[in-house]
Amino acid sequence: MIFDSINGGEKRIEVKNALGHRYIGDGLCGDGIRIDIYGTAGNDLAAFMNGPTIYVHGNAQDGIGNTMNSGKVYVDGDAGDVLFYGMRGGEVYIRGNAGYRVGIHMKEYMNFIPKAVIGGCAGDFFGEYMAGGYLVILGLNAGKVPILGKNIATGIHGGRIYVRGSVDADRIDRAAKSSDIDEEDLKLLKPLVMEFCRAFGLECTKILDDRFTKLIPASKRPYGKHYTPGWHTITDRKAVVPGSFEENGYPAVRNIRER
Amino acid sequence: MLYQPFVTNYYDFKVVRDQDRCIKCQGCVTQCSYDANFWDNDRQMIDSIHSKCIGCHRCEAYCPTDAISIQRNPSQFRENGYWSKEDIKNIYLNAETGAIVVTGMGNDLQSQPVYFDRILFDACQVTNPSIDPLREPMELTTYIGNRGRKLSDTKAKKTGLIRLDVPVMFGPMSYGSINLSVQKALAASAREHGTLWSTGEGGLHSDLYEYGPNTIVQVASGRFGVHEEYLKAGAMIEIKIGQGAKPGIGGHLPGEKVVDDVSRTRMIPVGSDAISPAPHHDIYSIEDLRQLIYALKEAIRYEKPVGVKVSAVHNIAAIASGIARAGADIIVVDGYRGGTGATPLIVRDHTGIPIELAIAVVDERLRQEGIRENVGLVAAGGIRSAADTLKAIGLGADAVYISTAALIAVGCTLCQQCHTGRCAWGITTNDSYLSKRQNPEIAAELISNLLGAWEIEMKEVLGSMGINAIESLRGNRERLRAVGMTESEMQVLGLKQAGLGM
Amino acid sequence: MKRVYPVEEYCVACHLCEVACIVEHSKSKNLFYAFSEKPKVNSKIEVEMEGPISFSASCRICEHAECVEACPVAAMWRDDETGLVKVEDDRCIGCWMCIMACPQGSITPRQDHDEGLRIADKCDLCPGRENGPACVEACPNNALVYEDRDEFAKDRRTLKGSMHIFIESDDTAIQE
Repeated sequence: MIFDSINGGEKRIEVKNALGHRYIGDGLCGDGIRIDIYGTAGNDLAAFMNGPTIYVHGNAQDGIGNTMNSGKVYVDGDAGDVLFYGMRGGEVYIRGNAGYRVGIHMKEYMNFIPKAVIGGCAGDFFGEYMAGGYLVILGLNAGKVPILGKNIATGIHGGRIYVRGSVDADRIDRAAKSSDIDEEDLKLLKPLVMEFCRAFGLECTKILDDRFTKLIPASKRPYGKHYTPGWHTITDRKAVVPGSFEENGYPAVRNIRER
Repeated sequence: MLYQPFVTNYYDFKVVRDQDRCIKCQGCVTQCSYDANFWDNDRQMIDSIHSKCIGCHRCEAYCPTDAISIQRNPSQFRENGYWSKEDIKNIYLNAETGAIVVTGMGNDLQSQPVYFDRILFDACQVTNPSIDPLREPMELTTYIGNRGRKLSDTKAKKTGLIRLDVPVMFGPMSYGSINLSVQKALAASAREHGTLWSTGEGGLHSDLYEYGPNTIVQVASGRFGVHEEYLKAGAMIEIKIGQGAKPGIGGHLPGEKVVDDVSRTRMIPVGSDAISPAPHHDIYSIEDLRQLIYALKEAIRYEKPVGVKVSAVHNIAAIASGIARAGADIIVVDGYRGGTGATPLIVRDHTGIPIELAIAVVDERLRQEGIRENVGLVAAGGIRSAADTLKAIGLGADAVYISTAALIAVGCTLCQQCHTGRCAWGITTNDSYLSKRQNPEIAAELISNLLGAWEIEMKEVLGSMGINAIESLRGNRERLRAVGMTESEMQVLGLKQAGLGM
Repeated sequence: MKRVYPVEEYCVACHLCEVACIVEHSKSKNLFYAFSEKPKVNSKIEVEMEGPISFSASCRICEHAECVEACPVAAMWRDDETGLVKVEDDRCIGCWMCIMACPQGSITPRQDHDEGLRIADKCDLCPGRENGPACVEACPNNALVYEDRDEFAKDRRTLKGSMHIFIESDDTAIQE
């Protein structure tokens, strides 16, 4: 139904009394389209979405932004598990808490960079297998509770995670390395936090003044040593016949005219 | 050899070069991508480091004077029916590196039975005349999808069936794991023969969008290259839950193979490993699978069928039944002899079940439940010939996938080094030096010839069975017989012992 | 006029074109003997390799044939009927002027001190060979093609001699 009205040229749609209705915004594309959802949005909100903006005035469930390509989603409430799975672009802002396995395998290329901001806390396996994008979590309502669960950023090999406050080292997977943020990071973080505050009517200067921890990949190939190298690489030909390679690693050959 | 770890001494192949025949043309030196052959300027001759040779036969094939012969290393361990050379070498490798032994292609163990080789076709004699394929029309066309959909189901009605002019499709081999030129060749051949090819989990390269109507777009757990245009580009969407070569674990593209263009299509950093997670993290139950199937159907507005590909495992019959009820239009079952670009050796050789058994039990279970017509069934995993194709169809499949066979058609010699990114035949690599070795025009012709030849072979066998349409063979176990199998094997397959009549 | 053109994107640097050229131009035509035959036979096509780029280059049969212009004894001449540039072995004195003049480096010295041989050598498009030039047939990846691309030339004209017009007047503008 939503699809048909958009096809018909509608640019603003309101969904009232949403009670876990799934697949809203699924595969929708187009510019300048805005959908307002009143109630609880169901699973796979904005999955494969490419362009439109969705406002959820309430909570949302699992799978938001699943493989989303571009567009914006704002959730004025809590959200469920497995958010932003394979997200490739666009922005998602969640005011409240999120569940586990958030931000798995987000990826980026050139100017397609997915960005997600969560205002509350999240569960285990945050940012698993990340290959790109920015994941920000603020824990505004955290109090004494840790903002994130265990096994943070397992297998991360691209992208970055910003956590407000500090993170226990033993919750972070060894694929990631943590540090404080610098000027560059602040430049990336500021617009995201400001947009988050603007959307949900919050004061942003205090948040930005807080200390943030940055998590980035320790290596591009966290599992490089995990697998045996190719059989042919174990023998080192350079040690045996050093002259058999040219400078660029190309095999040395005899020119046919030197016969 | 000096300075080298001891494990290298136990190499498998020797590059035997007849120095009298060698004209020192340098061909073998430039062609060996594993650096086994070299020009020795001091001794003014060409020689080889045998422990680097992995038996791809490229140098041998390209030697103009046939001076090279790749032979098994005559130096052998004492004969041992229990500890094979492979077992011993793998322990040396584990000890030397502390890492998992990785390999490519499919399960090569001789110790496990091949059921295809124990199944025989019936032929017509006397009581039932054969049909002459040279002079009479024979139909290899079939349709896959939900044939049993109700007219009252408006959404399901919109989804069409896929027509295949030959019941052989090209299985999923991702861009990154294989050369773009080979994908182009597969796409062109698929279009020419009225069948489909699959993108695999690496996304659809922009050059290949023109082949959309013959393309199966795959959505795997890594979601590489998946966006809404991609989903709409294909003739069918396939959700990859698993693959026969490595059931239960995700795809793996080693960092060596992630070059610039691959990095762009997959949206991951150059040189990083592209490891797809083992499960789809949004599929933790059959209901979750149903959710993803319908999420995809919504995204493409029900216009095209959505299939699910699973590896053949113990409970495959129940799993397939669940998938059919979850809304999939097509189920692809991938047997354990299937190939892959990179997999831990341990998983490849010891996990999964043969496709022959899997198809038989899935077909039987779906029939029993009365839902066989609601899904198309595709068999994959080590289909080597037109004979295997027909046997798979006889056991219950609608169509088959071939992947390894298609790569062999363009030159592959099954050296199992796909994961290194150094394929000497330029098939499983996108390296700038090596990918030139696959000329897409030549490759397209070879693959097209393969399909053409199999079409004729299938018609010959069908004709000899007195059948003139492939759909008459589907699930027709009565026209197959088993030799050399145990009672329980025949029972699982639903076949009679050869010698027994109707 | 048909020429042998390299297709750079398919060349795998296998050197089979060079081997085929040598065998074809040998006296024995014996694959196993041609490389050790006396007098020594050269390959007239050469594989250029620089990083991943490789292709096989032979005589371009230029419109402006510098080699014909450079030859002091008219051993290098153009056959006006076919447009091909050929070297007359009996007249060649081995001065190598043509080798220096060739912009592509496709002419090679053919020397055999034992036999007293010293002449210039270049591609002759394998005249009289049934399947066309040997290198094109030998290439396993279709990286060499034997085709006529002259239709793309701005104006088709018959090739004569070196196509250099001798300038007699003080006016240095080239006249046709």
